[in-house]
Amino acid sequence: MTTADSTIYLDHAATAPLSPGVIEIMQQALVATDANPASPHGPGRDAARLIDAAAEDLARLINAQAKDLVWTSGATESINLALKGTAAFGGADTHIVSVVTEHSATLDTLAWLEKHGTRVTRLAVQADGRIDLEALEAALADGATLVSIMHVNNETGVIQDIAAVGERCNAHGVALHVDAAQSLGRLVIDVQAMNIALLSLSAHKIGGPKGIGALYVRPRTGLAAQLHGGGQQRGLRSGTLATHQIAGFGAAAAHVAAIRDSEQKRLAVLREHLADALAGIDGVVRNGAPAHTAAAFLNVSVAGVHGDALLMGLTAGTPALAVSSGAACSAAKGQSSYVLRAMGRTPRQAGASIRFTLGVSTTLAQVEAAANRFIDEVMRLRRIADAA
Amino acid sequence: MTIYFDHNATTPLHPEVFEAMRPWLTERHGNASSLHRAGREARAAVDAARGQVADCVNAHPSQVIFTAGGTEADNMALKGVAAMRAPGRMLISPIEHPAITDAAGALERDGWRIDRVAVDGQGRVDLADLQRQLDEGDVALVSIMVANNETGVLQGMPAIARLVRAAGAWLHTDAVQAMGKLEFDFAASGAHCASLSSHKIQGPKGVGALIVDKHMDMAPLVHGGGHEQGLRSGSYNVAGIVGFGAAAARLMNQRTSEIAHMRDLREQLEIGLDAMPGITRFSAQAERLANTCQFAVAGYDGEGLLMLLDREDIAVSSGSACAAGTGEPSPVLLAMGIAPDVAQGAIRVSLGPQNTLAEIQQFLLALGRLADGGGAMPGRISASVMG
Repeated sequence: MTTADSTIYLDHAATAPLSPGVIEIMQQALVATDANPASPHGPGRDAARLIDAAAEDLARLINAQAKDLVWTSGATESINLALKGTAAFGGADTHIVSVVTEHSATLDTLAWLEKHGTRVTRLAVQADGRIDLEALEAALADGATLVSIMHVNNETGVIQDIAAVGERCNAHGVALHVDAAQSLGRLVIDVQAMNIALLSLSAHKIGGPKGIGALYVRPRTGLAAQLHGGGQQRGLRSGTLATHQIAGFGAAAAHVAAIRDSEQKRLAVLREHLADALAGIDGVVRNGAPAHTAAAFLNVSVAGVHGDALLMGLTAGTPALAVSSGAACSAAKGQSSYVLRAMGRTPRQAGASIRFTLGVSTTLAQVEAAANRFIDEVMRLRRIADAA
Repeated sequence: MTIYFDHNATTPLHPEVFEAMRPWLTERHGNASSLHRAGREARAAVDAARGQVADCVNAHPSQVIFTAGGTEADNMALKGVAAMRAPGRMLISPIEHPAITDAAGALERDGWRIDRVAVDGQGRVDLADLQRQLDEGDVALVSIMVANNETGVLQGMPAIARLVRAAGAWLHTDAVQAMGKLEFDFAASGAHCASLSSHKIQGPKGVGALIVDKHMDMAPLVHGGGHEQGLRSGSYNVAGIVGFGAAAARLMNQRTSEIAHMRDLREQLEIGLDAMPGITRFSAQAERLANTCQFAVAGYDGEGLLMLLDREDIAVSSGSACAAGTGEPSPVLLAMGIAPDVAQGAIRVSLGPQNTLAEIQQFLLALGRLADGGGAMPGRISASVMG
């Protein structure tokens, strides 16, 4: 995606442009099928049908049944519902096991729950960003009632072995919640094969609209609603359903299902091309082992430059690179990456790190231009530092 | 062409609103928290919409906290206040939207005492009872809606606010139905916080706001990332928020004439209804939203009549869309002292700016035909329902 002013958009983990076909179905829902889907009259039933079709498309992508999806306003709300809903249902015995490198939606929610008396264990990660399954095993044996872990890390793209985690959770009879905001549409997700009880999903990372997400809830999972009201969605999440948003999510899910495997192969090649080009200068270290990193992601730490200066330089300049130094939500607060620090990077290295995330519109020419621009900027900043 | 008389359930998106949203769904797709240009543009659009929503309800932009809708805003007001202190009391009216009554029910399970302030036969809050309840003490928050979604009845917010403020409690008001059908003024209402919803004012579904006075102590409902001054996390629904802003700006320019138009149509509707036998209109003596008329046809079940009208391509409601299908008489009407068998027959007509006099006439004709249809009609109330 190149925006009007020759920006190269390499921030698909923050948000992705709408996929083909999505705006059309959203427009149809907004303009023509615009009744309240809870209304029993004809126009209401038409809207409800669009929602049912979208649920089928999304459910197919994760090997679930449509009836087990709860629509939310996004992955953040899904994660809040999964964690708070489980804790409220489980009461005083709740013990949630998670990981230090989770998204802030998980970490902030866990901090809130902990403040209100819920027991929380946070597993460390190894230098490659992956958890130690034996540490998980120990936590499971220590009265865990829920394991919450992200499939693909939003900063590094590091993939956790969810199938192995699910197997261990299952052996202990412990429910597993997976934050799949970054893995949906990139990796195979099979809630049944992976023993997933709760799965948080976001539309806008897969070419759907912002402001819509879903939580898959396996039947008989103990979950207390967090939004109360009209009793929509079997009482698990009240509020008028946003038909156009859900229809857009469904269309994006159907589209990504068709292109996922070939697209990920293509992105892996482009990503390696980018990584090789960046390796052409000294002091660039890759975060996350390629074998365990989602194809769209390249996160590098750069020695000898200041992180903020590098990001500002890249996002200004020509061509401007739309990249980030971490999660968009942390970026807005100007914090260095806790994810990289947890992987053993020094705060200084963590600060001078850049996340490139590729997507469907990314081309070889863009990747090459981005690499050149990055190298020029790093060299420029190093010259300034040397002169000072 | 469907005659759509269900604008309190949701309104059709205004074409101008869609045009405002379109660029943010297509070429301008940045995450509003990203620091690069695409992100900064999206952030600027969110903030412009914040200003439009604030202007429309006479609030300050910094008081606007965007949510996923009116239900979330209502939940946030009650639970956000509750989370900041030990359980005490909250007062609500018995005619609140389920988003308030059900959120209050959840707090009740957490140890809060929820008391209901009496309403009169027209659905107006009894100020003397409010005062009595406040005098009992330990009231953290009072939540009373500006305008009811079923009857359209309006509350005297400034008078309510005076009592609540004098008692040192917070006042929340659900202004979801008010915005668009009267000139809701947050500052003048005297409330400390107010819930709004985009899709009730010809904006998109899935976005709303809680207007929050800076003095309030409030905890967030959704954690993670710290968006919206830490009060509501989650990536911004940029297109939805832009649509809400555009709908609010459009409304500000058009509402005086639109409200007058809806009031004229409703007057014609009510003249017609009053000429038909067996019609009971609810809250008829009270000040109401200009677009809302709720009534019952003697001997008919509301949901049955709704389905009969649906076959004639006329969309009305028998209450709130959320409660549809429960078969229960409206709790709002029961709280007003309406007998259950009468309440069971309730039909709500809620008009919009695009409705026409011809549609009112067609509706009256259809209703007249159905009401004369005799006992074999499926909408006719049966003995078992009556029982």
